[in-house]
Amino acid sequence: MLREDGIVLDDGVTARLGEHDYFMSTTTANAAKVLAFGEQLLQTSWRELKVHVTSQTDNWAAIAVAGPNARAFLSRLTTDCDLSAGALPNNHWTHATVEDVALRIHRMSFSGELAYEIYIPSGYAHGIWQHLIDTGVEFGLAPYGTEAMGTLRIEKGHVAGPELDGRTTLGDLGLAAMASTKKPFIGSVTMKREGLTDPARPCLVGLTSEADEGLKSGAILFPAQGETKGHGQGWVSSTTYSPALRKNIALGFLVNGSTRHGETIRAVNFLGGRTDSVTVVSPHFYDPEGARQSG
Amino acid sequence: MVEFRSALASRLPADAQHVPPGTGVTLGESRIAALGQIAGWESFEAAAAPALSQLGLSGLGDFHRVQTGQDCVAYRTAPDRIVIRHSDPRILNAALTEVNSNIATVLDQSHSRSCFTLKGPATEDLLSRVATLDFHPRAFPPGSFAQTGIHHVAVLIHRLADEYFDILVPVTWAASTFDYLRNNAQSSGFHVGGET
Repeated sequence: MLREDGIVLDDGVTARLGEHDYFMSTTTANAAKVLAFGEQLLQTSWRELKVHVTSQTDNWAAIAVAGPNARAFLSRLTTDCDLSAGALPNNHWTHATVEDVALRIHRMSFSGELAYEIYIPSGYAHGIWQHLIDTGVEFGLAPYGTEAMGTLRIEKGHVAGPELDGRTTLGDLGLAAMASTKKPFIGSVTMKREGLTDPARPCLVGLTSEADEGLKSGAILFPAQGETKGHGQGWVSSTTYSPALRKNIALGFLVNGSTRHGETIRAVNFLGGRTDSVTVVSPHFYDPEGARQSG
Repeated sequence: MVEFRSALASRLPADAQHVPPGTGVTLGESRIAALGQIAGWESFEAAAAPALSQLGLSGLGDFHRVQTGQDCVAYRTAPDRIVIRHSDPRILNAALTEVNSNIATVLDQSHSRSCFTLKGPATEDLLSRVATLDFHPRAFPPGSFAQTGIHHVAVLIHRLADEYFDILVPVTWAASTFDYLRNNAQSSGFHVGGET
């Protein structure tokens, strides 16, 4: 979803529940902004569309179930739906029943793993959560929080709030192919402005460091040689230690970044007085072909 | 089947307790069995009429006035929206199927709100402290409702009697709104009742 000026507003998932019925999830921090944006358009610019938007944030609770055993585990819990890859491909959803509670299972992955999100009427969420915990032991189930999720999404190269910072375009984020070329949409004209299509704009890259200490978000990127002053050639947006790669990694934005994979540059943390030598790589550190989430 | 868990489960006693004499406000919860929304466009009233009739409601009603039928209550929350609470999900769902889906939409909201019950002689004073509205009976008589904010949380306040209010609160904020009301009611003599 873009702003009127062609900059990315938010990302999320929209499921089509019926002929005229859609269910949209956004990033947590931008939910109110997206709802208000839609409401404003429907009450001013697009009154003829006959669409209502209503927050469902309180009505449904969502639990993410991610990992190689996710399908086997959920298949054990549900008796009335087929979760096989053929019946429920990635980015599809289905009705399901667990412990006599009618819920929805959306197959989507923010972790890069085979993953599902279970949408539960919120009054039953605590009971379903406990049921999952109790029955998941034999599948190696463990709760994971936002810190672990952050690590997984950085390994996968999924963008989030630190990348959707109000300055980045679809092209900057490597998501230009998601924009339709067959219809107009908010931002479809303005995203093509000269300044936003400049190939030299900083674009999303991966960064790896061999140092023991991790990189810092906000560090400024400079060439390996040369002066360390000004705004540099980009910045570090998200950092983590990658258990899968066993090294410190980061996402960042770098001028001409997509053509500089393999180059060694510097990440300068002016606040901490630290400079790291980092290697520019693809932002998709782990399972770049998507075999794990699409299996 | 897993059990329904109230958003106020950690705040309310398991059993109803005797209300001590001199209590200014008793705060409890009324379990919402079913809550549905009808939202439409120009011919919204015609689209909603069959469903409302089936529920024993005479019409959409006006802003700030509540329509009450058998086991149900309807709030017109916007010119083109009405929210209906019913004690039986099956009856509400059956009625909502009567809505013409070409000119109005139906949305289940049953798990989206907690219903606080506030009773007692100091209830009006408490609400006057925590919300900006005028709760004097002349300005906000029994049978009125209003959508407003309490501690930045969007709520719907329904006055059922002089000393009896229902407040619909988004479940995400129910516990913290409950604490806010309790803290502000300390000086009035406060009692926490159970679920009804």
